Amino acid sequence: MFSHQPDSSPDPIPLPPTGLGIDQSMATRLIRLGLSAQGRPIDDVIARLERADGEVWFEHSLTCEPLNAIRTAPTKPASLDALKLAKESAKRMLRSPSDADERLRGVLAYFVSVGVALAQHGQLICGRSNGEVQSVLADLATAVPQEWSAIMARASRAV
Amino acid sequence: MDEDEKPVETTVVGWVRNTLERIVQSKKPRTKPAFQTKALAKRAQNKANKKMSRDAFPQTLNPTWWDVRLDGGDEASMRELRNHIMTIYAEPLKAYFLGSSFREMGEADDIVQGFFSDRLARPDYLRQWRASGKKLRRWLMNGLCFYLRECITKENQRSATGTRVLAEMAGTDETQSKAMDLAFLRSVVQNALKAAGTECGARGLQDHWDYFCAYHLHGRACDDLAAENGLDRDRMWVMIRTGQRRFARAVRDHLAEDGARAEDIDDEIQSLLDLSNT
Repeated sequence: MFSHQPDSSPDPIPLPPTGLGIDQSMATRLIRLGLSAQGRPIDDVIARLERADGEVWFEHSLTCEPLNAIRTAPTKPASLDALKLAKESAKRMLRSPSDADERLRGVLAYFVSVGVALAQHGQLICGRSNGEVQSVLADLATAVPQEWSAIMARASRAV
Repeated sequence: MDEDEKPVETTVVGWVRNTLERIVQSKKPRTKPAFQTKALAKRAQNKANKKMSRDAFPQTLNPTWWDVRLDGGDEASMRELRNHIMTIYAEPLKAYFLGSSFREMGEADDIVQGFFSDRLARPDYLRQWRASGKKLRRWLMNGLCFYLRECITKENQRSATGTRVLAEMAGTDETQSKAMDLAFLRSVVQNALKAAGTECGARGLQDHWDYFCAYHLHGRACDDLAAENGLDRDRMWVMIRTGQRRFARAVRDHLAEDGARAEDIDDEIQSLLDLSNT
């Protein structure tokens, strides 16, 4: 066991074991997916939507200001004016939300309005970067009911 | 007298007065420009929102994940912690060992298992790590060095002739931590894949996970996957993204479990990426 003779020069670093099933280049590529994937306001909304009563919460949000004005968007396109109004109303809501739930509804309304405007009118109605909007809407699409998911996915591609 | 030709005293007094006024002026609290006030208000609002967000959705893994189990202290919790450490850190520690001057001491598997058996059986070992504020992989790396030195000391006590060689072996090369970090990156990705796949399966999202793997691991095109499975492209993209989001979260959870603070996780990923590019 202890027959080692000290080296005069350092050996090169041996390659790490490859028993993990993926190689270094794939691991490096995949870990990039973790960058900035959490910690955005939309991630809180998605976490809320993924709770057991998430769909009920979403449906309830559609009955409240400001989403109630555009709740029929999946079946009947919303006007651009209505979408801009809803987005502005969401922004006002976010300035002084009364509680955590209202804040979440504000964030949801903001991005749903932006998404519907993109999907149905091809217009970006907010000042956020294309990359941010694309990423947020793609993630939101994974958590909302399917008819809304289709709109958010289309919007994400339209940015 | 021409207006430009003022007496010297007047000029000097004027200069002194002006200079003093400038000094006094610079000491007065200045009114913040409107944009600065707005930026401060926005920062305060962001802070409040962040707090509200934390209140609504407390971090589940860092530091609570560890603390809940350590505070519980029951055998099931401790077993879960030990299993977690052995799953994530065995390969990185082996990589470290194989790259170090200790590598002639034995088989990497045996050494790392011996280290885990010795240290993880100590009730306070993980509490001491929590108190240290270090990344867990650094704590374990240092722990492995100490463990190996203890082995050397024991061996010296058995055989008086080995002292000189073993003392030289005990010198460690800090650059070997790179090998450990690269192995840690792979371990995090591998275990995040397992965790996210399990979560998708449990939530009835197995097909989402399969499409994620087909796209990201096997390089299949989104359009081809959509066509083969009779789905439109947008739907396919959403399904891939569903798996991706869960994978990303699992990666971040693992890094949080290693001791990175939530706000530092992007930096942690970036430093691992930088390391793998050097």
